[in-house]
Amino acid sequence: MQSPIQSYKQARSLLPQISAKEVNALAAQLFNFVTEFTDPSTASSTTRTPAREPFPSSIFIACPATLEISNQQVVEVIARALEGVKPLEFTAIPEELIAPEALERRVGSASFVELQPSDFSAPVPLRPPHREPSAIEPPPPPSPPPSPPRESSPALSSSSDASLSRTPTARELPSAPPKPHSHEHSRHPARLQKPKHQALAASTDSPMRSDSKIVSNKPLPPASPTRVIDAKTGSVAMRLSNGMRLAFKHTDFETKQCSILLVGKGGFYLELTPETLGASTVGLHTLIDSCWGDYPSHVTHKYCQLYGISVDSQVANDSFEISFDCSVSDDGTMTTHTPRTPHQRLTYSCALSLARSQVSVVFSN
Amino acid sequence: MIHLALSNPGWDKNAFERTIRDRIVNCETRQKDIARLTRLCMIDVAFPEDRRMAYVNAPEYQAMQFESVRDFFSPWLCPSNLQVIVVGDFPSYQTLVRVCVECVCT
Repeated sequence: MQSPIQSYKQARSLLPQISAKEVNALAAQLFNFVTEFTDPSTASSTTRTPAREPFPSSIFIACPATLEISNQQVVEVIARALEGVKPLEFTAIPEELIAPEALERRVGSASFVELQPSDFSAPVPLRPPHREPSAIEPPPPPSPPPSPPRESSPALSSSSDASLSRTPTARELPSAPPKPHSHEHSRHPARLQKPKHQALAASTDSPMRSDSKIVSNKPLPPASPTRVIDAKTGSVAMRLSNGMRLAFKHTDFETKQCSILLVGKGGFYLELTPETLGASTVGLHTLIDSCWGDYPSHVTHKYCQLYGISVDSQVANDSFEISFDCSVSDDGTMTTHTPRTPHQRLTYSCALSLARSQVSVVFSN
Repeated sequence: MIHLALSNPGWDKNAFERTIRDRIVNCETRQKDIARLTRLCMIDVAFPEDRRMAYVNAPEYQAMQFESVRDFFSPWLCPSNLQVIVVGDFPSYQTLVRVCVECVCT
């Protein structure tokens, strides 16, 4: 005799072969049989006429498992199926994590600032480009309408809130008070504000000293930088005593944001032998990932993360670059964490263009 | 950081191995569409003798030696080969000169 499980499996295997029409027909026959069996008028008849259709009793014979299987056998089947399966752990989510207060704390709604699309319709006030004085001056542009007096600025600011949602144009800004030495061509190199004599003397006459023992124990020679003011870019280029070239330019795209770019001659074109293929890229990335001085790599990474310094490296065909984007505060000490802003990208792109424009200066001598 | 990188660059062999591994993974996950592969083949056809124009493949990365890479790249870090470009809003000219000259001038 088949066990209940085997009968159940056999009946289960027949399920795909049974159509809905057959099931309905069997159900109708079963209904008729039950009705006939419970009808007292026909219950006295012990012999029934054999029907041409299958007897309803055959249904119970074909599916004995559904009637004879016990709960203990069901438990045994389930236990056999789950044999070797480990129950999940730590699936319960603590209620304090999904509480509304917790969600609000996770999202940070208190400090969350909804992002708004940028308004590019209003022109960003930029400094007028530098124009060199020439013999033939182009016709002057039409003069802007007179700027409102300074007393009217509070009225302008308090007129409507819509004016605060966009960047004011240069014409809307109140005119700055005239400086004592302001001139139309104030950005001309000849009229640039020269550094103070004390600063130059401090940087040129004072003996240089290193504050770290890992550099050298010998006193460094006094620096004698030669300053060259590039009229095309408005930058200052210097050649330090150790041969390093230094170029800097003051920009006010963003307050206390600066970008330092280290450019060196090298790159793919110097990989002349098969042994050095790809060595420039691997070498630069290894240098960035290695320790800096006595500081391990993870310490420098944490330092950069703490002070918001973005370090990037790139190898080109003829040069390699290491860029530092950071913020400075008083006395050159980096103290604030500032995310990378569009203005900072502008500062970096300015440094990059300055590097490209001075390639001839870098590699000419 | 520039001062430390130039004065005492630490060449770490573990960092070299990490870089090699990253470059190999980059080679394996590189986009392999027909146009890109054809372009790489065209570079090899156009410059058959100059391997510098083509990408470095994974076996070439695996064949690299730490000492050769270090000896190849270290001469580039001399101060006479470098230029430092500083652009931004520095507090004052004196600060810029002091920071650059005292910290960068190694």
